[in-house]
Amino acid sequence: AALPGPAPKDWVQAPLDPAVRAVLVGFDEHFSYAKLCQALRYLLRGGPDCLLVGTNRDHRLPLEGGAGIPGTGCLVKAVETAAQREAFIVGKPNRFMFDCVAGEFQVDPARTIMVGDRLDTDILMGNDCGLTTLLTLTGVTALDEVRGHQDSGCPARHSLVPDFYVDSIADLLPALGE
Amino acid sequence: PAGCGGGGMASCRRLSGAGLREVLGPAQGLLFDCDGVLWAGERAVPGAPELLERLRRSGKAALFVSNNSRRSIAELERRFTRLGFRGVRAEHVFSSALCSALFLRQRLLGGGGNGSGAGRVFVLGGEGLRGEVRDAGLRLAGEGEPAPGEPVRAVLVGYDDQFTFAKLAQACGYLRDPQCLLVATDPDPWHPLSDGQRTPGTGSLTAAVETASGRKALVVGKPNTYMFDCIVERFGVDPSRTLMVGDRLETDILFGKNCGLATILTLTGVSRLEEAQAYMASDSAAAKDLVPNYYVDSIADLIPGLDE
Repeated sequence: AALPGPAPKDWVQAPLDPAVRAVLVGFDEHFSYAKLCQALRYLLRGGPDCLLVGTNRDHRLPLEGGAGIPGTGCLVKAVETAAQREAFIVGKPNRFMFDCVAGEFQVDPARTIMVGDRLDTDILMGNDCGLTTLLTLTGVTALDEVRGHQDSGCPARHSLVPDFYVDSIADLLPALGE
Repeated sequence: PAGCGGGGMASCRRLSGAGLREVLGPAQGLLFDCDGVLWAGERAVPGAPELLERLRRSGKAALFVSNNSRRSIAELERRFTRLGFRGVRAEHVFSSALCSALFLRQRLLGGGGNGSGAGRVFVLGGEGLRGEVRDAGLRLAGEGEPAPGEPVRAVLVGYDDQFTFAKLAQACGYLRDPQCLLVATDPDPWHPLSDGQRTPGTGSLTAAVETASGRKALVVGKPNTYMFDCIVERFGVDPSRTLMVGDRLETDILFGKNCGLATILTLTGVSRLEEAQAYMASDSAAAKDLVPNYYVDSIADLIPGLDE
């Protein structure tokens, strides 16, 4: 809907949809202050009766050449800061998505491998859910990051260490049949 | 000479009667936050203009320190006049917009000299903030594709009601250079509107930029002490004889504590007395720093503490 005026004090006069009971923050390349303002209005109106949910906390989406664009996590943080409350995050490393998969497909964690490129999402979720974890180095993580966590004295950081790694998932081919 | 009682543990005492004269008597000056203290929206707090007038007649200094990065100093000076405050000059007013520009001037220009070679500043904010940065002798990066030429040496995050994902991405591009500073005008998560609703503050936008860039911003505004350094540089105030008056515990009162000032909470703005009392009852050392020395219902309550 068009904004009813040029400034926030105009925007906050627009009526709120009485049926809204959740604010969901996902990747939004059209994110704006006006949308942030509207999210805050719903969260203040509803208090604990209005859910605040984020799809994931990824900071960046990597592009070629080391560049990247801001990830959903930035937008979630903006809403959390304005509303002074924490979002429920559906995505990895939260186990909610694993529970969705396991609910549909009879997954035995002891016989399942989680393959990912990101320690604080893919590997952490895999470890927390009792899966075997495999890091591939074709994405955001470099091996010395893993060594850093391994050598730290911190149990929380040990949860970021995968069981195994490969340079690329193509390296798995020789192990499979034929 | 007797100080204003800025040291030791704060106990949130109501200021009135003899206590009022004991605290105000030795004070050489008062620092006031603006929003929620002097005015709320377009209305002056009743009695606030008279208080400033009485302070002037008592020979006590009144200076203003605001985290609001929307307006230029010139706009703020006009606002004081429009809302009925007399005798407030631009040099008395310190906003986070002004102080962020001074900070960037220091860091990029070394405090003086011309702009060449200093690099440009990418500002996320309105015309008031952009004007202060220009007035400090700095050049701004344009929006959209960067023009060839001087590199961007700082990203400044202020109150930006035109903030977009595209601007966030542009800021992150500049911040890939570790030499590029990330500065925020203030940490405020939200600001009250006159009808009780809230509008997101610079703090929420800064959180997005920090998350995307993996960097921590240098925050100019309260509760950090840089704005007090600007005040001391211009006017040379003695903290032990200066009172800080504000409405927000997490910014104004903590700022006062950090600068060695005795603090007065006024209840015409953001923070409620119950919040101050909850901090006082808390076990955490950090919470104790948010407890004001004194409180009043409104700054008009300070008037009886001044000589006729």
